[in-house]
Amino acid sequence: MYETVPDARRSQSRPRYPIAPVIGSHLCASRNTPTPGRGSFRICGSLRMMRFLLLFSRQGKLRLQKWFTALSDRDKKKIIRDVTQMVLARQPKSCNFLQWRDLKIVYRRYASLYFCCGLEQDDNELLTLELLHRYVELLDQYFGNVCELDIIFNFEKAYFILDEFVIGGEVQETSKVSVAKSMEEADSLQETMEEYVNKPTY
Amino acid sequence: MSDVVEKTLIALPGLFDSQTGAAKITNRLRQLIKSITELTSKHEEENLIKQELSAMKEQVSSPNTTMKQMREIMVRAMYCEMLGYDATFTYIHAIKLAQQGSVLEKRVGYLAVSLFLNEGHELLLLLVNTVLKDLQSTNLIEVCMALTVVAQVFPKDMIPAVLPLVEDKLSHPKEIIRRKAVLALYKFYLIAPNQVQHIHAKFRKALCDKDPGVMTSSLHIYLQLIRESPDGYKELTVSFVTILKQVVGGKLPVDFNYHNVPAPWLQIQLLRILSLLGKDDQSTSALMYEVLDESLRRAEMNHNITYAILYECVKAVYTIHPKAELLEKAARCIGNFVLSPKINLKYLGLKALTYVVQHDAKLALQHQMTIIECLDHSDFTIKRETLELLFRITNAQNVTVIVEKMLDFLRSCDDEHTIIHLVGKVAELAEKFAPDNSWFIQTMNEVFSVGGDLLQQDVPNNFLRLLAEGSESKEEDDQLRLYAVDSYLTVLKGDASHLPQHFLQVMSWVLGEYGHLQESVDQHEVIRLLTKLLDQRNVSLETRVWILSALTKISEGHTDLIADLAESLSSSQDTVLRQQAHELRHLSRDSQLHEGVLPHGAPWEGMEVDSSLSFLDGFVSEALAAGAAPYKPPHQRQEELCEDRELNLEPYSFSLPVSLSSCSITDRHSPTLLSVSSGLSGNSTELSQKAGSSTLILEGVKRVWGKDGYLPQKETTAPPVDKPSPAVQPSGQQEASERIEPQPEPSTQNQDKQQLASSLFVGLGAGSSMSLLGKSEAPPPRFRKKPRPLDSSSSSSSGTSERSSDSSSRSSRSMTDNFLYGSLLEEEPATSISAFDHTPKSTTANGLAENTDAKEDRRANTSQILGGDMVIVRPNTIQDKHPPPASSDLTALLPADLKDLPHSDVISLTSDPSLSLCSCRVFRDEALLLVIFISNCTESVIKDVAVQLGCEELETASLRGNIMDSLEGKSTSVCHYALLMDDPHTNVSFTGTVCYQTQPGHTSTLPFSGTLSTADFIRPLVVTTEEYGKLWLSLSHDVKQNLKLLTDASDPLRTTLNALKDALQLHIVDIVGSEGIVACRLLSGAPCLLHCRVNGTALAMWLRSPHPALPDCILYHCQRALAQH
Repeated sequence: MYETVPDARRSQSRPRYPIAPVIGSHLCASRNTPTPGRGSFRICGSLRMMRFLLLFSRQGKLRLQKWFTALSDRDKKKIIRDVTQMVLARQPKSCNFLQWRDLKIVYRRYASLYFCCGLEQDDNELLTLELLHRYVELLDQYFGNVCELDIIFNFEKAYFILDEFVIGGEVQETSKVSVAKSMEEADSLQETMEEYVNKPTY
Repeated sequence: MSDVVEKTLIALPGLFDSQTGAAKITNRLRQLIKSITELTSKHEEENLIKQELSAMKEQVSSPNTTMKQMREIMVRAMYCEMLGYDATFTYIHAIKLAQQGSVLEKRVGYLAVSLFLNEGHELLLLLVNTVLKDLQSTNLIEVCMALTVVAQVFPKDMIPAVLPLVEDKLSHPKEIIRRKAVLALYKFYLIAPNQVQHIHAKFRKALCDKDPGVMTSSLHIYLQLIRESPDGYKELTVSFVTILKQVVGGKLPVDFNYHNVPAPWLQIQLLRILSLLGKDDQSTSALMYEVLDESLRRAEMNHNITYAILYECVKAVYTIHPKAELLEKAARCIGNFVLSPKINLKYLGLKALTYVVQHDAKLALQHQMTIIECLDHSDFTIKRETLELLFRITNAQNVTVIVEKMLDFLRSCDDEHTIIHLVGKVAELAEKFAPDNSWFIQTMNEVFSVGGDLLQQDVPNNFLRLLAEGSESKEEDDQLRLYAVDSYLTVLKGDASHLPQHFLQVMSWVLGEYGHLQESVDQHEVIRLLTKLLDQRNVSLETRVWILSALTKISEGHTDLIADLAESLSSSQDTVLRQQAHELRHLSRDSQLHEGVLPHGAPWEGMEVDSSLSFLDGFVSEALAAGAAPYKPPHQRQEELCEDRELNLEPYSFSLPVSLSSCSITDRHSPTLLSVSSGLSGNSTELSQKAGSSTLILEGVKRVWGKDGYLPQKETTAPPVDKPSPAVQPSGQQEASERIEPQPEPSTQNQDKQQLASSLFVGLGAGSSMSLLGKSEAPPPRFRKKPRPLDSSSSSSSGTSERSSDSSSRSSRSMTDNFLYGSLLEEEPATSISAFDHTPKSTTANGLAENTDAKEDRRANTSQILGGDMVIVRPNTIQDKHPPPASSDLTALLPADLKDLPHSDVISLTSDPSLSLCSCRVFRDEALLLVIFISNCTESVIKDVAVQLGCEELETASLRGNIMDSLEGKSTSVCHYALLMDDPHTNVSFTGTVCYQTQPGHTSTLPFSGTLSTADFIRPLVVTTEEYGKLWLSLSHDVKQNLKLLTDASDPLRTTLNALKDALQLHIVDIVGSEGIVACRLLSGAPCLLHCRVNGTALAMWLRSPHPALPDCILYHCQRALAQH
């Protein structure tokens, strides 16, 4: 299997992150900084990232909205209306991708809830589909058998989890453990005594 | 009473102990959510939320509200906003909460801020201090929160304030802080790249971070940086490859795995970076072949995520410098995608194919049956993607079938954006590949009726332009026009009430302009049909103007029919209509005037627009004398308006009558202009300048170059010169129509599909070898662009040569054409796939023949130009700056056949007491001639002189006179080397030695060296705009850069381009508005196309070439040339 080979290697006394020293040694050997390209030509608008993430119910009720680019309220409402309509109208076994104006819409249904993402044209739809899945996994891990009601009543928690996972439309942390850990830390607000003493007073 | 109760209720949580407060908080929200779900109507919900909001409003403004309560309010406000209600009043409190609350409350405050406030919201400024404070906090969670919010929304202007703090966090001991700091910097880089210029070294540190998470985050920045300038980061390739190898090898901690696949997001990020680095760069690509191969091999598990990686791999393999083995594997991968029963994979496979066929059209052939199946797929998304793919593989042979498929799809489609998008594509294909007039007109009719009024204005504009501009052959033009007239008359005789406005406008224009061509139809009939249209209720005002101006054109001699109409419309409410009706009445009375103003079939070129409106001078001076206010342009009026802020109720002095009459007199053809002028802008000069900028009056066709470069099909004009012989053509057409005929029998369904396949994929197999005239399999476009009316500045000789080359290449094409049709006829349509094996071959053979033809043409042309009256100024290279002492007379020694060729100054290479060496560069069409003069400085004879010249980068094509038995005293001998440059280098130096004997047995050696620049090896590439467009699309390597624009002259673009032309030997193909296209080639044959656009004070230059390094070289020399200017 795919997993076994690296596992066997891993068991041999391996430093925790072997990846870093290797590239580190290579990079630090060449000290020269990158020459910042000859010109200042910038290709605008080709940022590869998510534009928005929407969660809505089968009835079309919005449960969560996260916008990664600045949009006016009118545009947001238009997108929400159009996208929910389009997604809800889809036949069960059709493809999970849609075209809306110049955006790609990737959606996936989990029980009664639709997870839906807007992407740039040249982004990888399949990867985004899995990104949605990872988000659901994270929610599931946090809430334990997550259901729509969890998200309805604790939507701010769902936002916090999302913020630990995706920032500004880019995946921030793909390690499930790290996301869980930072959520836990923030939730319990454990501080070391030292930090507590040094904490400035308002 | 109820007020009191409510107030106490609101105050309650605050009265309670803080321990129970938390429970209360959730309760309040829970209550709200519950009651909303229980509601049945939208109206009730609105009422409830309104109540909730007003309660919240009261609460937030009360001084007694605790932070804890505020936190609860924020959560409720977020909920209301999500439902679509406005809770703006809470925004400021969200910031306050983030500022003043305890950690838990802060968290909610920050979340609310990031949800409520867009980038650029003015309230964000108030957040800066809070963020600054939290960044310095010793509480890790506060730092995290601050970094999170900074990475999401932060005011651009305030970045410098927090930047040092964020930078510090890059060396924080906690990896989560480092990771978030990197992402915050990434955000800064996106919104204000200049501000983070100085910390590039720190990005490097983040890349080397021992935590994989931090390293992953830094890749976002690198992807962006590399996308903008891949050259600066080539040395990192090895590092990225190493990282990817380790990831693929499973050396990351297990918790980065996703469904047993190691860090897929990281892998994909790396693959994207690698493909950018390896693009057009053979040596860098070589570094990554192994790891790409590994990735393709490893990703074998049957899970979505591995397919996502595979897709990215395939794209990378096709983007970087190709390696046959990898391409083959990638192609197999695509096969897996396309053939997968999973619909998502099928979709991705189609997308990959669409990307890949641009590099290798043959791949589509392998999957033709799947593509056909996808075409009839029940899923809209799949269908659309398939059409996108078909669009990419369209050629002259399969255009009818593909366009038919697209139109079928369009008829069943109801999504506006899809329609607009696809209709544009159909029009593009129709203009590019139309096999004959009738098909073209009918397809365009479909386009107009399907596209309806969603259609973008440039589609009808381009179509009319094509009809109007015509080609060299008037006969062909008229045939097309005649066909259009016939077709429109038929349409109008039917029910015209449902036709879209654009279509009506096109029809009325064509009938007005060319109605007289159809002699068999009575003009009365045309007039009657048009008048009938005018009466229809659904016809818009703009369309009425079009119709009326068409009537004006054809009214001559039919006064009786028009009189009533003119009479009734002269009292129209609309000023433009009324004015036109008056004109119509006037003109119909005076046939002589009519003939003068609207001559029949007048050539377009002959039309002069007096942009200065000099004929109005008399009128103006009279008006001024009579006390009228002088005309002021709008911006001046605006300024004046701003100066005196008082409200001015007086009407401004419009020169309306002037503008209207000027337009109606000068503008014979376009009603759009009239309707523009009816906008009462009063800005007659501006309008007429617009019209005057090109001799054509049709407005709205400004975009000559699109995203992919020059779009020939948009510009193409006029019916074909290269028409296949009539005997062959109709049968080919008939055949095509037979193929697409639906076969009702289900038993033959499969065969049917194969037939469809054979008609869809015909002509795809030809080799993609590139020639000067574009891809060899490129079909002869039906509608070719006529050379634009030449600018007065360009010499007429170049014009004629361009034309002659055009027609000669056309003749060679028409041969190809006949041949293709012939070979098609030989094949039975039903023999399906076997047809593929034959057609491509014949195409190739022909393509090659055409190539050589074309090349010869080119060559003949170039020399004609070089030898003719066009003065070519030599490139100024390094040596020219130091003119040699007194050696210029040596040019006289040049062999007679070289004397007339352009050459550089003679410069001294080296000398010793007995010999002196000078060199001169002679620019021949096929090579650079390095002429070396060997002068004997002594009085005695020098024996056995041998020159040896070496340079690794250059290829010596031939040499002459490098060995002399003896050189007389005080005489000079000449030897020359013909040099070619295979791989462009900015500068190459050559070294050499001269061996000679002054006394027998005593050999002396004199070394010499010199430098040559790429500019010496560049020759103008003379192409027409149309050929340029085709060539542009076929070239893969491109470079973009902003260059200095020489702004001191009146026409900056032209001046700059001319300066470049003088410095490097470029050929300016065309200049339209603020865009210019320029072409050149390297001596060994690789062309380089330059597309220049004025962008503010800079010149945005976009270079394309089949050779990876050539654009960079040329760019370098362009920069130098402009810097020296």
